[in-house]
Amino acid sequence: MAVAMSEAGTDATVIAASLHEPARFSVLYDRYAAQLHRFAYRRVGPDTADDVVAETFLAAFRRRERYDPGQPDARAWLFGILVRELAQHHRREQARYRALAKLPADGPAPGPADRVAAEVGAEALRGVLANALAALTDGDRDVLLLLAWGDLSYPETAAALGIPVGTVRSRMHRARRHLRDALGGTDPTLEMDA
Amino acid sequence: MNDLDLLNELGTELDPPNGPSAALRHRALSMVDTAGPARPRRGTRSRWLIAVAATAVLATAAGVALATTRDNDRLPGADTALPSARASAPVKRPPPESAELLLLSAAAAAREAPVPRPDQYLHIHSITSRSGTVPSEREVWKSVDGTRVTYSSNAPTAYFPGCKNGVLVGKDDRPTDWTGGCTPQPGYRQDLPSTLDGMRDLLRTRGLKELVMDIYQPPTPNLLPPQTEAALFEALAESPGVSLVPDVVDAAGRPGVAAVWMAGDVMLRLIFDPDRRTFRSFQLFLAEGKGRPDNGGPNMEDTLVSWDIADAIPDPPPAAPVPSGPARPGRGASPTHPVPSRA
Repeated sequence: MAVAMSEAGTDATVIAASLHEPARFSVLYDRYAAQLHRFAYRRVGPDTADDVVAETFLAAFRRRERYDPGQPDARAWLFGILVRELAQHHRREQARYRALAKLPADGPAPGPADRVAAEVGAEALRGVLANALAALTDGDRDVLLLLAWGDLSYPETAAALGIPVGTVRSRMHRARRHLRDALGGTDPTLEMDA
Repeated sequence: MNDLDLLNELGTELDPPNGPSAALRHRALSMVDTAGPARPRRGTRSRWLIAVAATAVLATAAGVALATTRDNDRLPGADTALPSARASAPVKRPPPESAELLLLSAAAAAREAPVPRPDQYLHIHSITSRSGTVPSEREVWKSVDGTRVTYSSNAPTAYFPGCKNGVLVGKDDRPTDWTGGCTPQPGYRQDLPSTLDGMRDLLRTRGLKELVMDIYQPPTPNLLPPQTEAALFEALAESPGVSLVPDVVDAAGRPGVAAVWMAGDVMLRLIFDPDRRTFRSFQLFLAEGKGRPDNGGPNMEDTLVSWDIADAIPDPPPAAPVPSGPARPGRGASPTHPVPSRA
């Protein structure tokens, strides 16, 4: 696990310092806002991403007194808050995936037949995948996307969601099986590394 | 390429064109700029005492609150006690990606609407427009619980009686000479479901055109309770054939984003605030060649210019006599007016 560290100190140090100097909390924003925003943007789109990211940092600021100083890296903590904010928009997220699945393909650029076929195939798979994401349970989708899009490890995902690592593994397994089934058995390969 | 590769490709496709904006940074750190040092944490007992005390203070504050406003210049929920990113400042939003997402945003906005006390008034400013006629602008103050008089700025009779304890009352709660009893008619429309399942059923039973027209073309301006309005928009988000028009204008000349349906030979539009996603206007267009105005505008339009929560009807309002009898049912009478009962 890479610990966020700079002249300002670890995340835990920054949070502790912000208890006396609130302005120090902005260091945390500068470290993680881009990651959180990208994750939220992918899931709920431009319309809501700003709202949930702003609410995430406001909630984190309010709860900073309760942050465990033994955890030097606050990324999982912030993602956990973000996921709870996103949970209030699960219908929007599903709608985003369904809308994505309905989008017509732009049409491949002219080219060799095999490349055209590959591009058409990829467009079709995107729709299938988007529909499959919409159909996942919220818990399975959170695990899958924290691992795949949030780049969190299994332990970080477990910490973010407040569940055991074993549950993360089982949810990930179930989510991937669902995706593969939807994709028609597309090359099932290795699980992600913890 | 496996499922995770595809998922990552999809994620890359969905990435934002830019990083977080300066406006987002300002919102996210709004509390940081104003907060003082954190206080030491207290024990459980202290926290309980503080919670009880805070509840008492909030309850007192709610009791003396004057008016909560919701219009084009304020965010819904701007009076909430705790700082909130959604309430911090108006935010320019990009256009929604689809009508479905627009309606879900509108549902979320509806849920954030302030809720009045039973003894307050819903002050509704609206414009009704019918092709071939001069648009009619009016303001109405509706008693939230229906026990007080309703005041309309341009009705032939300015005051409509309230119904308190089974007695029809006029201004200042004075009983009228009607002795036949009455039933209070609350300011919000009450006959619609407040759950998504209930609204789905209603939509299925009545059909989209009939339901939307029933709700948005009332004889007098109407508001839905927040949960009902949210359920309606969520149900409409699931309706087939809905499409998005990102740049429309309502009867008040405001730009908006619209969800649009073709229903037989008419087109229905619900227009929303482009940033807050609150409802603004309903428009109905007849098909071309079937009576649509030459300028291409709507045949019917009912626009909610603004609404807010008031403690009283305007003072001093134009002089008007206290009604001496029950309101007569008909086009001129609001469905929210008290209904005399002869039981």
